Amino acid sequence: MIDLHHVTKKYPNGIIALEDINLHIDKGEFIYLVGPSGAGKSTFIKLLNREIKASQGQIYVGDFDLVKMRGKQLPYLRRFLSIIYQDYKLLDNKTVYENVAYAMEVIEKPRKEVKQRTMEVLELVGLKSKERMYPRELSGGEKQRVSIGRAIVNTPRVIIADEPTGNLDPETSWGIMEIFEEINNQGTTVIMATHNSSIVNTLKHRVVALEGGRIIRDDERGEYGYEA
Amino acid sequence: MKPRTFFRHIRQGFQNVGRNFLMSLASITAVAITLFIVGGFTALLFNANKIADDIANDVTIRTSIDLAADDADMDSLEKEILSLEQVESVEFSSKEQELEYIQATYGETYDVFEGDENPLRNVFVVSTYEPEQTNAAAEAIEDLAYVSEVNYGGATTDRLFNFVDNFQMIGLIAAALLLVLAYFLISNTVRMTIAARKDEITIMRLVGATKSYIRWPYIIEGKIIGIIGALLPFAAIILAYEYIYTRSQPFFASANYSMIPPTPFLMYLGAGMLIFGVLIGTLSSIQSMSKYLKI
Repeated sequence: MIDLHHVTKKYPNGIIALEDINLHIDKGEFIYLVGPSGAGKSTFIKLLNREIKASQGQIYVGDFDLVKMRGKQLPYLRRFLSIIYQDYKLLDNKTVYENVAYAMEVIEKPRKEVKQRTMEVLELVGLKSKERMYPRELSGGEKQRVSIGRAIVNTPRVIIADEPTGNLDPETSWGIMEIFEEINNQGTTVIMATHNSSIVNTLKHRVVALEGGRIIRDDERGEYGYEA
Repeated sequence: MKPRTFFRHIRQGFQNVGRNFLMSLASITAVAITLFIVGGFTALLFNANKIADDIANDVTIRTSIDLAADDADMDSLEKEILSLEQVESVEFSSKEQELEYIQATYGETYDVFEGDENPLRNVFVVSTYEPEQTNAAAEAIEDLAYVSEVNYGGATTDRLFNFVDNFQMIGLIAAALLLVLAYFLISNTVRMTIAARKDEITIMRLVGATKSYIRWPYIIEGKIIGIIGALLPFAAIILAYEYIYTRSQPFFASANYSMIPPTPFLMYLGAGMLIFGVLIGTLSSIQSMSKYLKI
């Protein structure tokens, strides 16, 4: 599903964010990506989404070869793989409903289908009653749930979440995790960058630890921590 | 593009204008003020041109006929003048008609010259095809037999023609400069409106929207701003123009000059403003967006 071969990312300012990364992720896996700030987690996510290009190595996501890929294919990669951002990245001028529906509208789904599926997803993330509200009227947890709703509405094959519980209180965080578990149970691959040790240690999954731009640990059903 | 996507874009475009109300208002105001200045100046320029042309076309060569000429001589003189290549028409005005004209213009003081006391001469009023040919035609007529005097204003007329030419040139340059200025003013405003929504465009890219899917609502938004921004000043110009036109008519009519009638002139002007507004609105939204679409 996702393959990285000897991937290195060096920024124009000379900083090496990732160095010689080799990783294979299977369909339907749930992976925690852990590591201190600056370890390269965000760079890793941006590489998979092709917001940035690798300096060296090969990256494959599904059938997409991210090195050889042309700009025109970008929207299709981003529909195959959805990202949930720590800062939510919601469209401020659109309502909760419209934010979620937008991801379906861009793939030109019929209005009826968009409506039905969007309502289903809003129900799943617990925001059905707030469908007409704008992001500015929501709490952090609610915004995060809108962002999750938007990510899952097209049933992507891969979901990548960048610190999805980073700004949330523990109770809300567990609520969010339930949604991820459910999505994963339906067969979607989930990659989640997190600093939340209690989540990692409770809901056990594969843990990939990054430090200084390198993978220092890769454990099936691992514990939180980034010591080798 | 599927029809439902097309309608989605239209709806989105209107929604964008409404939801970014203040920004849209700022853009519409900028477009409206700029187009008002451009439209007003264009109307002024065209009318000044028209009146200058009226004045220039009004220039005729008054050929006074020698007192010794009898009817046959006058007929042959008329034919000779008409045969000149520059001459479009020749109109005969008897000395009595000349006196009537003077009396009508300058008053009863001239009544004493009636009948045999009339010191005036019969006149051929000669018009040329082009105002610029006046000088050459006058010189040719001067050499003909039975011509006692040729009068066309001489140096004054030449200066008038020069002035009209220069005025048209300066007007064209000013209009071109104004258009360039208008382009930058409008496109900068639209750019700012879109730059403020850079994040929005980036997010759309990140959730898998194609470039054209993102672009369309913004283009429609630019068009809406262009249309409203053109219609407002157009309405203002119609009102102002009709008012000035009605007021100026009696004043100009006595001098044989006139402003350009509102129809169809204002329709063309309005169409021009609309096309200009929509074109710039659209072009600048496409230009400013392409920068943010790269991600």
